[in-house]
Amino acid sequence: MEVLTVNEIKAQYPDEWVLVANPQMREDNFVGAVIDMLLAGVPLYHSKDKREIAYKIHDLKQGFEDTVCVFTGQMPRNRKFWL
Amino acid sequence: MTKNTYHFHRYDPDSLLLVYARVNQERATLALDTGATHTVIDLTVLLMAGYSIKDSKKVVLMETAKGTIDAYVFNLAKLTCLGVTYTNIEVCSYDFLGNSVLTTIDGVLGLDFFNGCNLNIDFIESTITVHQK
Repeated sequence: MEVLTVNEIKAQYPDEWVLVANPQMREDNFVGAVIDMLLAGVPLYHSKDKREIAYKIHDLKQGFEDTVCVFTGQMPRNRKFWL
Repeated sequence: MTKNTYHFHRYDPDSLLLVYARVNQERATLALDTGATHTVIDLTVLLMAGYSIKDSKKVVLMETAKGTIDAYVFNLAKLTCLGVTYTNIEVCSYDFLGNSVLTTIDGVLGLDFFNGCNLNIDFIESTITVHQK
């Protein structure tokens, strides 16, 4: 399995949830979304539905010490939030 | 006593203040929300972290921007964010998708996370400093 950079993962699986194994993460003092912290890793599975990954994650991550699930799209820029 | 300073980047004035968290070993993106009394995490993230609804200790009514919903209360083994780690911390969770919350974030980091901390958000320098006593 091939290690891809985060930009390669975004290009290969646009607007999807991607389960990435052996993630290389930023370790400086920047804080942001998980996708902004990811540098590279091995894509294991991708889906439009995050729940699908959640149900399969136990089997998918077998044999890997560390995994991360990221969304490769962007939030709409013109959206206002009231949480 | 620990003091950690982090840099953040908001892409535009509409951007949330997003922070990276870990629920046990699972990573999550939370919006820092000083208007929320409690930390709330999408149920999907807890499923990924190995929890199931059966692990919740009670159901509470939660007031959200979309109305009142049932939320599950979990005791998480470990929650880490901004250099602060809690063990056996109580958080609320509900099914974002099932409640029509379509978002790429995994929840909000509320005021309860910062009990006993000095939290400073500097929007000029784009830094968050958490001083835990």
